[in-house]
Amino acid sequence: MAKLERDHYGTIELLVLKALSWNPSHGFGISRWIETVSGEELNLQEGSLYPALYRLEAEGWIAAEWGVSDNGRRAKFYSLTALGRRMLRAEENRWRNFVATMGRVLEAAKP
Amino acid sequence: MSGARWLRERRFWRTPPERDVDDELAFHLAMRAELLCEAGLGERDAQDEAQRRFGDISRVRERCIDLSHERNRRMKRLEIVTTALLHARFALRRLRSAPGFAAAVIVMLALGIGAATAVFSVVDGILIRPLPFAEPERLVRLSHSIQISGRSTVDQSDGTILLYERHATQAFEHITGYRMGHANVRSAAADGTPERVAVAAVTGSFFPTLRATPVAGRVISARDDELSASPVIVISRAFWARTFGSDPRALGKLVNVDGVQREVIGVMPDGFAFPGRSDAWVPIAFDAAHANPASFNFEAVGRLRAGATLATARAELERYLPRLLDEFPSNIPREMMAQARLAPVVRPLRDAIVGDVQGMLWILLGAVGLLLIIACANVASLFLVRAEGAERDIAIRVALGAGRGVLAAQYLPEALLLSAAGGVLGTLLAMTGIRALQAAPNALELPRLAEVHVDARVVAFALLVTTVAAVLVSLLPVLRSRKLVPAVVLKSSSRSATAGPERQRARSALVVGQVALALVLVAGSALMARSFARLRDVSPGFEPSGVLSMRIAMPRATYASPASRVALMNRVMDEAGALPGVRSVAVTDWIPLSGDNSDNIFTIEEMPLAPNEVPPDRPLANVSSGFFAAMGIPLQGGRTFERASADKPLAEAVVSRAFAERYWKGQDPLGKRLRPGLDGPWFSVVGVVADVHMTALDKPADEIVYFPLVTPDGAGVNVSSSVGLEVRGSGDPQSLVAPLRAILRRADPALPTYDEQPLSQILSLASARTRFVLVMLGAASVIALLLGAVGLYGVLAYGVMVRRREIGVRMALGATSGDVTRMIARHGVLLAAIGVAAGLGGALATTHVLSGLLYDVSPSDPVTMGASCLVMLVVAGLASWLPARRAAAMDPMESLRRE
Repeated sequence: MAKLERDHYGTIELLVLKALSWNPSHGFGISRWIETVSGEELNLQEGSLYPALYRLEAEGWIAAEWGVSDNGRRAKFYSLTALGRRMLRAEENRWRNFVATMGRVLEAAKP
Repeated sequence: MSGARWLRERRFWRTPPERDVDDELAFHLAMRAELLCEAGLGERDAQDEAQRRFGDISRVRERCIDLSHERNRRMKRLEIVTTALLHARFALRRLRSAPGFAAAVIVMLALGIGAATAVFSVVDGILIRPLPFAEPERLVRLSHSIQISGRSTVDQSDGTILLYERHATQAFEHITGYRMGHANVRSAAADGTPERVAVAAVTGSFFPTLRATPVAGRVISARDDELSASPVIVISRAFWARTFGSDPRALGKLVNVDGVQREVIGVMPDGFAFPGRSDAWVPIAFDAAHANPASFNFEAVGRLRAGATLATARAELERYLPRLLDEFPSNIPREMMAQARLAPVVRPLRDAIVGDVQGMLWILLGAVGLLLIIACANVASLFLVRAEGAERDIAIRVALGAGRGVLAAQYLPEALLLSAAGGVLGTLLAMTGIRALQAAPNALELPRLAEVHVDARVVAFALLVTTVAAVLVSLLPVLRSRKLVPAVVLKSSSRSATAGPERQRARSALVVGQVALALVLVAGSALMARSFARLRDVSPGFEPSGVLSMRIAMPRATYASPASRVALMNRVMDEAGALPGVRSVAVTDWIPLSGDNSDNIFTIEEMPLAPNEVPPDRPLANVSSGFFAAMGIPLQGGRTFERASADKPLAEAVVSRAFAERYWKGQDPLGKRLRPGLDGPWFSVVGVVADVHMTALDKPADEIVYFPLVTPDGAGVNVSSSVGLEVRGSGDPQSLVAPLRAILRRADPALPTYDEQPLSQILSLASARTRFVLVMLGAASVIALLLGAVGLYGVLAYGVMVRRREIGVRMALGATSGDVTRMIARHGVLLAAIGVAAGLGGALATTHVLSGLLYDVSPSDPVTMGASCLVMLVVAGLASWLPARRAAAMDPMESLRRE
């Protein structure tokens, strides 16, 4: 099970789930989406996306299928499973709570 | 099913994860490079930049491949679980539609498995499991064989133990001597009533030999068994809890053991009770200068060195034994010693402890094994019937291409589910049974019974049995399916008018086998019953009803003078005799059949021993004047003793009829003289009493000499210090316990009474083992009979059902209901007769294993065998009669119209 451990507090996984919440997409597409929405802020190595995809597939949150990309190449497409969709909602809430809590802590004016 | 196959195929065609990962990463890099090219980079630069942005490609690839494999493993596990659940659900659904079948199978398996598991636990705990010591296989019990009249073995004397300890160091790591005994123990801390405790006296090497370590404090060491050492005691954990409330401060406290203050130095762990059921251990001081080499009052255990065998150990002891009288001088003539042919015996400690119950336990295991086979045969028979009912179903499946594997996959879960239920129920039954066994009075004298419990090993055994049973029965329908020709089965729209003979053949064979095995068990238990009845008819020679037996031990420390002991005994006897309803009171140092043993040598005046002849050895008992009256032993000639008095030792003896017959056949024994031991005053025979079984019921009556309580001994007198009190009253003996205890307490508050029980109970314990085997075999054979009958009934009832049309035709053509009844019943009795014939052969071939347990009954006793066959046939007749009646009661029109 150790192999399935998540890094970055599950950041990449959450991004992947979010990216797939509209349409199935291949790895490169997800990478492009993250790049577009987050700009240079997250500064992720593109390669780190793939272990996250395989982990999520092993967990059964996303499913993979080989298909053909827009430019006619053979590509592996990922889509969100029902379980993945539920997990995405849960993870979003968890993340928002975390951010809100950290925000409150950091805004604190008195010791 | 199809889902599973699809998954298998998919896995077969799937590309290996390595290629998938490579393709995927290559696609990403190519897309990125393309994008960069569009942005204006050269092709080479674009590829370099794409790789830079990607990061460590080989690491990512490795991680992804790992994760792919992990995912495949998970899928496989999931697939297995899903398939198993699917099968289990199907099986459950099918079983729910046949609750009678399921219940019958479960009950039969539970009975078989329960009995087998219970007996296996007992055998495992007593015979198979190693003793609770470190490296127990190297522990040996040392004793001697001897050739003197009345004895064939002796244990050890202080001389032999010291001799062996001194010299036998090649084969032995340690040798220790000990003596089992009891002591009156009073704790100075908890100042309660005195308690009679099993205390073993042991040498300093006792604990090192057994490699036993205490849970608190220390054990007895070599320093403690020196003569000058201060008195100490090691106690069991139970004793610690009972007397000191498990208080760690108990160490260093003093307890009074037979009048001697001993310091508690250690506490032994739970389960350590060697020898016997010892509760405490005190050091024994062997005095080499005053050793008594021919007084074999001790036992010895040795620990073999690695590599030493029983033979080398024995050879070593044998080498040094001749030195015994050189190193420990004694008044025993050397020639006498030589004539006795003393020779060392070395055997594994486990054998010595387990002793003669081995054979009995293996027999019981064999019996329940048979029972289990009968149960399985019955279950198999039920499965066969069921498979026949499902013939069309199977035929359709076979026609559609189902292989044998698929059919097995259908029946195996069903069988496994039923077996699991049977196994769980059976294990519960076994646990209940063992608890009942352990609660039996005196635990039936089975050694190590307290160590017996249902544990992982036993459950593993039950599981193994269950699984084998399940696989066997589930294979039956599958094997049958090979013979099915789908076209034939499917074409015949209804069952054929007459059932094909080969259909019933398998089940008939099973029934014959069951009847045969059941007969073996019935014959075995009938032999035990007859043996038990014979044993019960043996008159012990005394009249036990109405007598209460109780023991008193007067410690040497407080009752040093014989006069004080006589005074106490006389006082107790007088007061007990005055109790309302008490008819007679007596004291004896040997309670018959209680396991007491004080065989001793004696000499007869007119039969002087040849020079160096070894004197004979017989039970010698010291009894008070009222003994024969209290025990109901008739006086056949002369008189009994007068009341004992410390200043008037009596040189008199009373002999048993058997003794008189042996030594003075045809003469009048009265006035003859004999004496215990080799020297001292002669005792005149003043009376002859009827025979008594002193040592065992299943042996001839003993040749006994009774001496008075107070006998001359050199210049002084000799009086026993540990005696049994026998009180004959007119009512329930148990009602005497309280007043007798009160009398003892008034006489000496420090003196405990123990072993209070009716004499009749002692008598029944003497045949306890025979009764135990009888009960166990009896239970097994009753169950076997029932199962056999149920099997026969099932086969016949099913036969009647499938032959309904045939019977209908016969009745329509004029057969009377009597004809039909006879036809069906004849079939059943014929099957049973074949089984009985086979079983009789089996019984005659196997009952000789019982011969060691039988008393006065031959293992092939014709009456018993005949009766067993008759019982079997009667039961078979009953089992056949019911279905036959049902067949005859059928309405022919009704059964012809159906189907």
